Amino acid sequence: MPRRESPLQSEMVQGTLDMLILQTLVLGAAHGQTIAHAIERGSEDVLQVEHGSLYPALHRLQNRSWIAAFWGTSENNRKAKYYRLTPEGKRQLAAQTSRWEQLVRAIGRILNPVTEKQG
Amino acid sequence: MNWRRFFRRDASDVEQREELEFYVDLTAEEYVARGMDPADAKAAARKKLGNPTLIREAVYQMNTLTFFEGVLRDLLHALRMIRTKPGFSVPALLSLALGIGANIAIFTVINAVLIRTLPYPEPEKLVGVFNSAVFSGQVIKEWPLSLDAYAAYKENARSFEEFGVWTPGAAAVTGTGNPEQVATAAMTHGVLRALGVRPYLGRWFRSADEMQGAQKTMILSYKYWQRKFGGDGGVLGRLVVIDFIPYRVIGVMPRSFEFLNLAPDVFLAQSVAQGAPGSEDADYSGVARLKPGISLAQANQDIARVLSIWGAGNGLRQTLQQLQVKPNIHPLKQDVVGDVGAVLKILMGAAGYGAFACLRECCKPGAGEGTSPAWRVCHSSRAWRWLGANRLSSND
Repeated sequence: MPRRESPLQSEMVQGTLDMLILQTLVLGAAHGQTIAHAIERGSEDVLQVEHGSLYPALHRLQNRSWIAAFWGTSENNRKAKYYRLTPEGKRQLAAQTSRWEQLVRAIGRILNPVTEKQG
Repeated sequence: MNWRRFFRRDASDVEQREELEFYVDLTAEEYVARGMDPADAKAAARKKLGNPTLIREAVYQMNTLTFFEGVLRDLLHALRMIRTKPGFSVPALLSLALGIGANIAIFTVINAVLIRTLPYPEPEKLVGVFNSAVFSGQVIKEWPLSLDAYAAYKENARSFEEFGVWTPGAAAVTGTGNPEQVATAAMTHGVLRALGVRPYLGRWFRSADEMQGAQKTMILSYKYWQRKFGGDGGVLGRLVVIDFIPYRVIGVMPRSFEFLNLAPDVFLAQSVAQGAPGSEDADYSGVARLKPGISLAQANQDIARVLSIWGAGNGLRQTLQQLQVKPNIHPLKQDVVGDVGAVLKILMGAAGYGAFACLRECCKPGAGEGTSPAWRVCHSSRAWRWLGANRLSSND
């Protein structure tokens, strides 16, 4: 399978991946593969999750106690490591989401001043 | 940040590997479901994952306590260098050890002599009592007292709570066992009272012990009591012949008692009546405990007054004036330490500098062969890995 290079991938803002992982886990516990798929499909394949950053990111979030890991059984009956959101992770997600939205609005105002005035 | 993960990072690595393995298998299955050849699917899945070792390393790095790990590694490196360059390391270590050892030895003395207070209750009130005088142009700062002067001070001084004089000596003990020579301190009854240390057994000297014709009395040091009498509790009241005069034992000083900087075996009651007027044998050191609230200056003033009374009383006024006799009352600590203090400070400075110089030489670049191991440990490996560690952990 050819590897699609997404233009956004290398420019992914620092910390965005963490936020996306947390958002994915709001719907319930999932293992790494599911999380990656969810992000890719949710973004209509614009965002490609680099696994070289996904697993370290999962570990980092775990160290910060924003997510917790447990061993479960996957759809195909294999032992898999699942991640779930902790209450602290939920708080972090809310904070990061609002910060992100602020950022987007701010950048939007600069890039599209006219649209902003009309709106 | 949880430091405990440092200890279970190997277990964590195994889990990480399992997780990545699971990912590869799952992705391969997906590819097969889409019609890919099973062998190719596995390879493609691995390709998509990227280098698993890099991932594991990144995670492993997060579980590392960089600082401790660095210290440990530096330590091991230093040990290896010490082993591989014994020609340099052994002299370096020896000179360090000697420097530090000398420093500790000197500090032990300094601590005992300068820093520690005198081992008596309220030591700041204790003073040495002497006179200063000028003999043919030479200032004698610590001219001892005569028994005559002692009597005058005892009679007239108002600033002393307790006051006594003493003189060191040596005497022969005969009569029990082999004759032996002992170090003595002959003292009036005020000395031990001024120091404020009560006997372990028996009592202090009294003024009655100093009367001419009274039974001569003595107090044993704890050490002498143990050595000579085997710590016999019935020693009180026994007679000991000292310089052919029988002395009655009236007490034993406690084990911890130190008599200034001396270690006399026995303390003898000084007969005061010996010092008949006109006896000018001035070889007694004075020790006193100041009354509460009395300063050194006040005490000196007080004794200056006493000196003039004394001089008027015995016709010595002229002599005293000629010799410019003035009281010299100073902290007792000065008597005990004397001029040793300054010498000790110089010695400590020298030894300290020696140790420092050794250390500096060892750490100099180019000491030993090529670059010194210590310097390398201190500077290069530490600094570089420090930078490296910070760069890596900045992602965290």
